[in-house]
Amino acid sequence: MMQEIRFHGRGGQGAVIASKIMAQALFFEDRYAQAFPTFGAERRGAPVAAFVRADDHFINVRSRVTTPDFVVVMAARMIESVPVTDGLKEGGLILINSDLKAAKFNFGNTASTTAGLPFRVVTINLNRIALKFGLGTEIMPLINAPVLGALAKVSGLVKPESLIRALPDFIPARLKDNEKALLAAYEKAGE
Amino acid sequence: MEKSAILLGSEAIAHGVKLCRPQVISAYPITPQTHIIETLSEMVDRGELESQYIKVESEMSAIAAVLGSVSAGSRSFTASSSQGLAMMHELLHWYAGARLPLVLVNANRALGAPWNIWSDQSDSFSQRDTGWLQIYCETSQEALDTIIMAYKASEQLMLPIMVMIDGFILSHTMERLMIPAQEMVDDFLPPYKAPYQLDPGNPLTFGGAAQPDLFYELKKAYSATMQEALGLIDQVQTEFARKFERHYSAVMHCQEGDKNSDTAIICCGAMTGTARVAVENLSQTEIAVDLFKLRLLRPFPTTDLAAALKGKKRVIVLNRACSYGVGGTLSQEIRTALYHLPDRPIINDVMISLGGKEVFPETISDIIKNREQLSETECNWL
Amino acid sequence: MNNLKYISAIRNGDFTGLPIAGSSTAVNMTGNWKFFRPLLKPKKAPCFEACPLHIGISDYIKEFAAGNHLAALEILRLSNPMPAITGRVCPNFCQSACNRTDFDEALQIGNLERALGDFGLDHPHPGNDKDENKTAAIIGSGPAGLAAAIFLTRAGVKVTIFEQNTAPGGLLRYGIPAYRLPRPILDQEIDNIIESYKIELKCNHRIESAQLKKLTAEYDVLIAAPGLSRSSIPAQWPDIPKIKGALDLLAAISRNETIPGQNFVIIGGGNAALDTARSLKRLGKTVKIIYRRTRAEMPAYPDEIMEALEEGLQIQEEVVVAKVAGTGDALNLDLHHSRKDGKQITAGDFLETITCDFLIAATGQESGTDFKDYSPELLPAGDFAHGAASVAEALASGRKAAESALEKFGLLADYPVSNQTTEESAPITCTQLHLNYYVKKPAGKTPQLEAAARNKNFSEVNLSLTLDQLADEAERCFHCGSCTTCGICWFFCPDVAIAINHDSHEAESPILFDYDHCKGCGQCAEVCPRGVIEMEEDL
Repeated sequence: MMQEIRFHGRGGQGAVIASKIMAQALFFEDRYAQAFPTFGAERRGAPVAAFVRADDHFINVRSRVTTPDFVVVMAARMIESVPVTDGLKEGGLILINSDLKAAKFNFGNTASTTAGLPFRVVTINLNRIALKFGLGTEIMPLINAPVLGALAKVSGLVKPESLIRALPDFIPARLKDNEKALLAAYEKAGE
Repeated sequence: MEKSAILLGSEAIAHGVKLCRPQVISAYPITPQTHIIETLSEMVDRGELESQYIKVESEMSAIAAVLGSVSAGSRSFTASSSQGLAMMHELLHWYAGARLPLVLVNANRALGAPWNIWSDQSDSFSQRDTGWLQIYCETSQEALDTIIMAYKASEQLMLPIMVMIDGFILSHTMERLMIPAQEMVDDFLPPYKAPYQLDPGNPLTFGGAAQPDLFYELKKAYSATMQEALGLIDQVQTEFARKFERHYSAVMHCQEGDKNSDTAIICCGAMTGTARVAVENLSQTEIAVDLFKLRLLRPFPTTDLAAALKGKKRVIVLNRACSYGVGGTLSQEIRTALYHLPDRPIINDVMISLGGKEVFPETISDIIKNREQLSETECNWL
Repeated sequence: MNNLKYISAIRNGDFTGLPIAGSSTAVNMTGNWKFFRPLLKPKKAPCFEACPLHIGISDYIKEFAAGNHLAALEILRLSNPMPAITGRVCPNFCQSACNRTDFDEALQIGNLERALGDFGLDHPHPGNDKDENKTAAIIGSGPAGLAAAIFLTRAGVKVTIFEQNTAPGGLLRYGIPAYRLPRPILDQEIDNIIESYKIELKCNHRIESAQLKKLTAEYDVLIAAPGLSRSSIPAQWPDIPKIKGALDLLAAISRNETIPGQNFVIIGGGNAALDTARSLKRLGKTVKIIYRRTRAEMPAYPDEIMEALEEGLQIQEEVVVAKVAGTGDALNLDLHHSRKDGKQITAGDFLETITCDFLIAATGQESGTDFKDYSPELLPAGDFAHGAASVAEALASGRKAAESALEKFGLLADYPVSNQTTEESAPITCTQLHLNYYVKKPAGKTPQLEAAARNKNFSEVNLSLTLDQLADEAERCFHCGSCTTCGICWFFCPDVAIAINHDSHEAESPILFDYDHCKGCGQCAEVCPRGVIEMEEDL
């Protein structure tokens, strides 16, 4: 059964790199994976999306992911301007990089609870984790490693060891800190 | 040993090129091709690939540089896209006329105006008549394999080959593939031995003036070589399949309908993958169609195509390039090839995408479902 | 078919089939992509920081270069009310700090100031029409006293200056020789100030400490700027008329008194020593300076030392006078080599005995008053408060005393100040500038009177350059840390998100950022030749 992920981030935040690391990790688990960004010129700060598909055989479809099982929002403020939950499957999950509680986000739920929604909402402050391990700056924390740790935990798609094995090809500096941040997010996510 | 990997399409192509050991690489960056030559330049820089990497200031110079290096007997490589390929146009004619081998990878992209960087096959379709062979690829694996086969065919025919991938859709997508072992590629593709080359010790004249009658005869011979190329490419693909166990042909039957299926759809490039999903989904709703992909556009595999589509009542052609004032460029090619069949099928000319307009499986299945409404004479725009 | 149909259709926003949109690309609000936003952040220029008066140098030079000399003068006078004087006598702290030094040669700010100052001699100060019913008494009309008076009157305070001498100016008149500061210039500058600001000046009016209490009662504030008007004479020297203080001698020369004697020996290495020596030389005397350290260690301004040497002045280095023996007509001086004893200099081996008519002490200054236990209401200013210093520092000190008084009066709020940033921050350095945008150009140096011609009279040594001659020099200013609306940011902005506000008034920014479209790429901050644009997190 094919699983699909959609990452939402801002140019420069590492959504595309995160999608590639995910695909590489899936490959290490001997799965077929496809990763690609929204095609266009890469512009710093512009809203970008990146996609990952995972399956047990070669993936033929090449159009962008419209009905994801998992949505990852790397910059919570984007929720105001980008319809991040579009097509999110019933029983799916949205992971948001934020300090706020899940119920604080309004996805059409009227009460201050996510109980009635057809998907799970999980929040985790990845910026704090990244900064704790010295990744990036206050202004621009580098969260692509921790975001994957959190996603691995809440999705069960891939083992954190596989992600750690995939990191060196995509993260040129501070590898150890990235690994630690990834594992810290894995521990913390969904608590 | 062949090894499994997961790579971007552009990286896969760079690996394919590296396996062929080109002695000279010259190219000018252009989105979405840039990653290919970036990866190659890094390979050269790290010493993994022993090659002269010539930096140039335009695509015109890139093609001119390899025209020179191949004339001097080197296996060479270049890549481009869109406006870049258009800029090469003059020398594309010259290159083919010079009867020199080369593999050029083109990442298909639209030509402006208006400004657009996305996938569209107009750039290479408008170079159909330059005398180059053209091969369109569906996956990164196919592109990697095709480069290896293309060098072999090109050097045997002394003709240049253009290998196409859809910009972004293949170039920027990471997917799993097998990288052939170097020894096997070396065995399949021995070093290039130029039958004639620039050599001060043994002077020859290249591309001198030809009087009308001679010019005509040369072009007649060129045309005959293109016909021979069909057989040779078949042969190379068969040899490749024996060695690497991956099968390719000029026209490929990708998805079979049932025995009574009288409708076929045909397209070329990465869209075939999405079409596979569409046809598969439709087969569950009991609409059975056959899916074909055309790999070889030049020389055109008329006989193979006629044989493949024989007996079909309807052929839906999915176009990603347009000859304005006529319709889909691929449709014209298919029509011409099928004209001689005793029971000519209906040809539905569909302009499915230009400039990166997204093709979903539903886009294709909706066309098939509503096939009765499609025009048989006019180009069908969505 | 009529192709004119397209025009209205495009304007209506209808689909025409042409790749032309009915509106500009401004509809794409790309500003929401950014993480950072550019801000115009003027920085302190090093000249501004180095100047004791914190003159808005870059600002007035901008006007100077644009040919607006009156506007330039107004900005200059805001911080420095006597530029014709400081333009001649200031050691130019600003120039020593100039970032241009690391590029080719420091901007000749002193020359620009002097030319504007001379221009100002014919342009009286605007004065003041405020009347705050407050009064101030100032003791001394030297630079500190005058500055205090000007800054107080500008705020509406009525000022009376008590001067013990016959004419105002203090050390400007009685300490600085005319070849450095011609008297007509000094007179005109001070007259302008006294008249424009309606300052009551009482000359020949020495104040003794016994009178202080009375003055404190009569006036709302009392500022004491009597200066250090006497040279201190070493205690071990005999108290005889053949030994004089340099300042007394300079004052006598200023009053055109006849100076007896032919052979003079001057002890000291400061400006007073050099001024005395050069003045005496002009009167045809034989002069020798004796200094206990090396020439490089002399505290006098380097330019003055250079000029003195050009004029053929003798300076005997690393020598001390160990013994002074007075005879009837001449003095015998025992000279010894200097010996360094830690930081102290003592007499070493005997060198020689020389004779002279007069021995002049220029080794330090002291107050000519007996003010000691003045009341806390008395505000000290100038050299009297801080010790001997430059004219600019004296002006700054006077201004500071005025500001203290104004604060007390509650009048400091609308007090006019230079609009350069006074934030606590380090001044901008050369590495923060983009030097590629500047062209090397020789500095506009002042011509000098030939050395041979100088010794005959008290003509000014440094000749004037006209405002027009200095137009190119004004163009040389980097304007470090200050926007000149040069338009480099506008040129490089890839999003056409910068507009230059050429006619900006003080309240408006000279650069307008279109934050709706700025993507925060930071190119403007990167290319700014003056380091004025900064990127800040966009919240």
